Amino acid sequence: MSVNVKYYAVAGITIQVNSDLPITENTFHPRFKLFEVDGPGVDNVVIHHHFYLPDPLLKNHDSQKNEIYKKDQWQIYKTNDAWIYKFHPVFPDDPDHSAVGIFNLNHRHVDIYTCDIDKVKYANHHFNALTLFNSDQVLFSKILSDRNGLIIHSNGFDMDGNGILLAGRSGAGKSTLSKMLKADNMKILCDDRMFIARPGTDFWIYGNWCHGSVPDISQGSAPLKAIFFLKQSKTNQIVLFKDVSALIPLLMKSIVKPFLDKEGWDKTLTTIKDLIETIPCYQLEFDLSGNICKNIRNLIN
Amino acid sequence: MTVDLNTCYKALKDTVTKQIEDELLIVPLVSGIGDLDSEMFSLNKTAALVWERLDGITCLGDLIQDISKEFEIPYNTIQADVVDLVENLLKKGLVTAAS
Repeated sequence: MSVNVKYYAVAGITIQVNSDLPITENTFHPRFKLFEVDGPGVDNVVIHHHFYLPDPLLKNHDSQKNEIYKKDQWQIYKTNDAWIYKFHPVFPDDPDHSAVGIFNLNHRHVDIYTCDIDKVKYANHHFNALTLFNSDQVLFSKILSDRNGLIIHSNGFDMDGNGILLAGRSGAGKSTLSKMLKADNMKILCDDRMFIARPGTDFWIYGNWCHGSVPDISQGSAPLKAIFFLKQSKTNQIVLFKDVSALIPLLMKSIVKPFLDKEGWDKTLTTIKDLIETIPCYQLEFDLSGNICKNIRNLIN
Repeated sequence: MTVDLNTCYKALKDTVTKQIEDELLIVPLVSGIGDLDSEMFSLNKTAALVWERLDGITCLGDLIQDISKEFEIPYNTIQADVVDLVENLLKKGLVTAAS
């Protein structure tokens, strides 16, 4: 069945996708099925797909726009009333089409324009992003920052209703420990990028679709109880960071750095400050025995 | 990059900063945005004190002298650390030579 409107919810935000072409079951990657909802929620963002390039509209924006970034796949402009993202595929993993997104200032309304996608491709392509870009990160970076949130490069787990994050540099053992935790019946929320937001007094973590290959994702969420920075070792040990000077560089390396203006960064740094002051962060050393799972359970419970 | 005690250095103004306990977080902005490639930096309490005084008017030698007097630390004790810090900040583009 095809429709011209679909709704997807993540982190308490509902994304309404409107399209000039019919949206089928195969337009987006099957993982989006996990996030599909019946209609708008309380907090809504609208994305509209158009299949032409609106020259007059872009020309109007041209008259006031300033290029603020140009690298790899992206050219980004900011005008008085919009952010304009021009995406051109560069890397082998990029989608094989160009697209232009015009986002209003708070990114609650997004128009995506492309000439490279026809009706047949749109119906069958399994797109990885609702924006039709290589990822929806540009959208969520901004809307999460406006909601006391951010994106962190980490694996997230729901452990009996308590959320934990495993962070650390590539090769630190996130995948290895994730396998151990899954074998110990902990529920994985996402295995690459986790959304964090603070809808009330508590920070929550949310599974999401913002990763290209995504073997493990869930639409689930959990209140965040701890962040673990991993270090492979010959022993099992969990040590609380008491000194922020040791913690901050690790945390900063794990945060997915968004395109944000001064106001957006100020909000993001405030969120980082609140996160450090609220959520205990630990260095976690583990061997391959799997015994660390018990240590984590004892600590969190 | 050589640091000269007779040169005035100026801290980058187009930044967003946040104090977290004794650490100062700094995000440099380019054309008004912090982008995917820009790094976030953190400075400890002492480094932040130097950073805040890099005004482009006071030469580095005088700045070290001021800190030395104010905190009653011998000039020679802090000179090498301050020079290292400024050299590091210059490399990261967080500081420029004003004259």
